[in-house]
Amino acid sequence: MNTTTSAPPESYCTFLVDGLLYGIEVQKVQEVIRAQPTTRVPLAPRVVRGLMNLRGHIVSMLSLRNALGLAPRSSDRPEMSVIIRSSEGPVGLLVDEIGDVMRVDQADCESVPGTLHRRQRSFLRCAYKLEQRLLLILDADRVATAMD
Amino acid sequence: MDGFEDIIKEFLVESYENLDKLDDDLLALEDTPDDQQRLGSIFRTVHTIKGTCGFLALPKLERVTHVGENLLVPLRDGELKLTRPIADTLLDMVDAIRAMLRQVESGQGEGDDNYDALVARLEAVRTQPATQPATQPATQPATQPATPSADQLAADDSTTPAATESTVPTATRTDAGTSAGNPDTSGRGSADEATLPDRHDAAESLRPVQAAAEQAAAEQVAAEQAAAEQAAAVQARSDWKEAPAVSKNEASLVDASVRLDVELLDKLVNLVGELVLARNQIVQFSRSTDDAPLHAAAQRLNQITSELQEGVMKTRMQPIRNAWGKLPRLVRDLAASRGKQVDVRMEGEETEVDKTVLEAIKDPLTHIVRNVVDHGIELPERRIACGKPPRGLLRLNAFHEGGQMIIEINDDGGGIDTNIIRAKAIERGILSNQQASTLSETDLTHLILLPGFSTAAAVTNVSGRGVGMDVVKTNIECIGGSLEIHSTLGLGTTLRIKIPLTLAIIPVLLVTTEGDRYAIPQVSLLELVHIDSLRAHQEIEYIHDAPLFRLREQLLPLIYLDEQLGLHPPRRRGDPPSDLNIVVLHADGRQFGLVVDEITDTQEIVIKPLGSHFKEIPVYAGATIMGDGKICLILDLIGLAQTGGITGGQAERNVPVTLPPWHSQESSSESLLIVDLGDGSRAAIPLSSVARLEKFATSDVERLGDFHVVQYRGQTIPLFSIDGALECQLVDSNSLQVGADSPLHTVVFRDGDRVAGIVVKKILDILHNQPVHAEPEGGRAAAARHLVIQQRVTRIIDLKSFLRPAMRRWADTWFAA
Repeated sequence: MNTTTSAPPESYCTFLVDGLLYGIEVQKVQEVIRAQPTTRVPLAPRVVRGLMNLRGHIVSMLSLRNALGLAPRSSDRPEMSVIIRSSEGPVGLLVDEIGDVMRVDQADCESVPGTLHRRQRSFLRCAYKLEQRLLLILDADRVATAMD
Repeated sequence: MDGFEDIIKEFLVESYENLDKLDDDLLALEDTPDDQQRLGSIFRTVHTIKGTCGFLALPKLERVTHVGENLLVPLRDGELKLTRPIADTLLDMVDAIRAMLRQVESGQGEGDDNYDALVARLEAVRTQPATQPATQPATQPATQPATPSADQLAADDSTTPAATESTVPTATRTDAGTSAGNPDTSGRGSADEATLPDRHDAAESLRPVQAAAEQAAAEQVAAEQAAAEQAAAVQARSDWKEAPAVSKNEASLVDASVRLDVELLDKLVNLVGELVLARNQIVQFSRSTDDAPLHAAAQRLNQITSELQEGVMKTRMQPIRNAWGKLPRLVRDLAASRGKQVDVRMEGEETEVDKTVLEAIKDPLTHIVRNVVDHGIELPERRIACGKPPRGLLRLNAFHEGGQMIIEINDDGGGIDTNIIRAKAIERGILSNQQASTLSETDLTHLILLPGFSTAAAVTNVSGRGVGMDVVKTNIECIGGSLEIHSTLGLGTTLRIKIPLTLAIIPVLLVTTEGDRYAIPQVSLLELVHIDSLRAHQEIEYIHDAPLFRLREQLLPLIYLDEQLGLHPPRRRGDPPSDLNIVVLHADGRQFGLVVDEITDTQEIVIKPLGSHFKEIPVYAGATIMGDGKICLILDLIGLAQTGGITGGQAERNVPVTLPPWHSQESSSESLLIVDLGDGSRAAIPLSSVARLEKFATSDVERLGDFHVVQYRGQTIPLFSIDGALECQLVDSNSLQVGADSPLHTVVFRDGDRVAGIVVKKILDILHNQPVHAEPEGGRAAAARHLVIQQRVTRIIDLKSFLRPAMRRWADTWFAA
């Protein structure tokens, strides 16, 4: 339907959250690391899991599930964290599982349907139709500043 | 006179930098003559040089810059357009300033050169008609007046060698002296002699020494000597190339201090922090093995890292004294020249502040102090007439408060007359008549911070052009600070500069609560008190549920850190006493006790700012990374005192919201309390209308006429319930299907002195920052809104309008007179 006019980056770092495949453009991703112990911040919005020391930088770790209004995790497999470069500096997103870096064809880009809940839709830029499933592209800056 | 020399040195280093910038600015300006920002910058640079040299007794320099400034004023105000001749003249002025500074540096005062011609030209280009056609061959006016300045330069050249000549022999002498003892370098003296004929005379007089050196050198193997000579020749040649002896002196002065990028320093501090962590790990590791060499290496690494850390930290911290050390002198001289008498009193000189911050506030401080002396403090006769002592008092006070550095500059002078400001602002067209009459005194006072705004009747060579205060403001804001002015007409003015301490290292006290560490800035720390449970029983007193501790006959309100952080439900009067660790603090002018689980340690830390998610939380000032690599939150005591009700903000300190322990108790209009109404439906109540959450036992509920009531804080309050149809009903404990033992969950609503309880089945949750749509107009507003919260349809209930009819009935029944 709607192919975005300004050529979006083609490579996306992908990850799974609650069974859905999400992606953030590779240029925005600083690194991917295993989730580390964080320091909790009382009174903070619930989307914030805590603060992590990333080689001398203090990075806020956000639960992507919480930001997207998804159900809490049941699995006890260790989470992964995707450190993204946002306008606010590095911010960590906790995800279930890391996927591949995917190159996608712009022709497969679709805008997000209006039937989505507003909360989720505001974080999504577009969706790519992959062969098996959909790849949902997150707006890194919006996710990085997500509140409850 | 050491201090004075320091001032000159600083002045020179600063001015050289400024002049280089001025060159660039002027050249850029030729391309874009209308660049107001650049013009402003040029103006400020010249103004600063002029201002400083006024106090250093450099009248010639001052004169040139003063005339230059005169020329820059119409340029800045757009009355004069920058043309080639003007630019040339200004560049010549820059050269002249530079030449004079060089002479000052060589210790000869300003030199004997005459700058009348330049001054005349500066005057001339200013007064010539601005309409002069730009097409006129620029070379003619430019070259003709330029001749005198060329002469000048020639004159400079003739004086500078004299300056260096006096220094060169000493240099050679030491050179030769050392070469006598050290044959390896002996070739160098002779090479100098050979290749620098103009130093011949100086070297000649050193013959005997030289001879001795040669003799010593003769003992060397011939080949070695040849090699040395060759090396020396190369050395000499490169010396020659670097040459101009004039710049040598300057270079040494500039080289002695290096200005560093804040970013670079930050990076270094971070890297050293990382190094410390790595060191800790290695030391830990080495302890677990018996490898002696490893032990030794780890030990050494440990030492070096500690020293490095200390050094890097130190590079950035300096006492504020360094910034205002030269102010008393400045005040004294300026006051004398104005026929005024001013005493300077300084407090908190040892307050440490980051070097970069210090640098940034130096100029603003100078400007402010000059303004105070020139405009603030009155003449002695006038002071006596006003009933003040003839000597004015200028007070400087620096201290840390709430993670910020505060500098107060206070004088007992005439204050700022807002009427004059108002008149001036209208005259200058900054304000309309109407605006001017509605502006508050404080706002009017702050108009003096506008660029080009001056109330001075006469432009003196010290101030009055309206540059000073705008420089002050720009510089302070550049480092993220703020400036406040409080003035009382006739009594004096206080300027309060706040500078954030984000770069600064501060000592903190580490405390533990609920298993987490928190840092408390030590500037706010008064004392630590430990009381055991037995004493606590006697010594902790309560006013209702607010605990107080009698500390040497002073009542100290206590707040519990875990409660403030929402990690523990509020304690009540009847709770069994426990051991208490009280950190006695002062913030915002109040004292209070902060109760923590444990007091751990003191440490020096670097504050790092928190991300955007935490901006709304007033209790944190930032975070830091501890030696073990973990992150520790730094408490903002002013914020804590406010949320705790110690200062300002909430008048109703004694009704903090009782929430499940994992929730915060900050209340914002967008925060919603989610409750289960008991019939399967959910409702959301804006937290702002909730005074408290309480649990009442069923046995507490009494009947009063048609109403169910409870005794609550010495008041009888009615209980209501909300049913699915959103009708407000009298509570019926049966309908809530609660057992006789289980408590009634009650939301306490308070509006002024009207208090009521709403009984709900269950308190479910609190959600922050919920987007709540604007309230629709109309009668049944209470029920009209709903949201989907956690995938459930949730009605939003505005308690105030919801309870209105019921409360009216309650009041009519029981309080109608």
